[in-house]
Amino acid sequence: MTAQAHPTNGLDEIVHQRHRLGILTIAAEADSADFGYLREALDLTPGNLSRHLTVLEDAGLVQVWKGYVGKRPRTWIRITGQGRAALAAEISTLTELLRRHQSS
Amino acid sequence: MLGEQKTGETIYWVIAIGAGLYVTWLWYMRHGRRVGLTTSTRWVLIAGVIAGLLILVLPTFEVVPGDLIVRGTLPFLIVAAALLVLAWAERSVALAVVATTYSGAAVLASLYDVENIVMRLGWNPSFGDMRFSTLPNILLPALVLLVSGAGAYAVQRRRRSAA
Repeated sequence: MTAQAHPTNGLDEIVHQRHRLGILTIAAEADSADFGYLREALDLTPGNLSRHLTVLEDAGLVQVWKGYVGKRPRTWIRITGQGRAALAAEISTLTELLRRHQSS
Repeated sequence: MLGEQKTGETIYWVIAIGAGLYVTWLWYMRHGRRVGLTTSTRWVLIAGVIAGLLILVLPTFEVVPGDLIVRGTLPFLIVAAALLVLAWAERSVALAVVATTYSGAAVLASLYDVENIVMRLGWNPSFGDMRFSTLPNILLPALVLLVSGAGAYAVQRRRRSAA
């Protein structure tokens, strides 16, 4: 009898980290999110948020660009197609984990 | 066009609904940039195309029940549908209540002569001129929007002063 693969094996470390999961879910619900909005919503320091964004950007999951609203400079974040796919896979794995745990 | 409506009225509604969608789109863009979270506004374009088709094409195929278009208030139902979609997209219970109330008023204005109700209440909107007899059918849905808009403005103002 072989052990069945556990759902947690399918969790992606880059996506699963709670702040990065927060960034991705907010970005997936919107067209684009501003750095300040994410910082307040996730209760992060600018440096911490910046580090998480770098991880996600390097993985190709989000796109980051600078812009202006009036004279104020703003940093905007948008989820990429790859990011949406990674988030969907993560949610699917979490759902499977939840189902397995609740039925045990 | 639009059943009993004249071409002039059809042009008016196409421009009015188009302008309404454009102003809504502008507001969403501006508000999104201000709060730092922009949402997709493709729905405005989709809604515009659908509304245009409904206004211009649908009545020519006579697939709309005659009772709904005989008073020329079909555009109210299109606006009602747009409000319901917006409430769903915004996940707003308050807007859903407004949209449902407006839809009820729009259906009533399309199927019934509201003049009969206001006359029973002692107001004769015709004033001897039959052109004004349809005025209550227009005022009823308009009143729902005006009262809801004033209410939303008052709530927002109170929130801002409390913040």
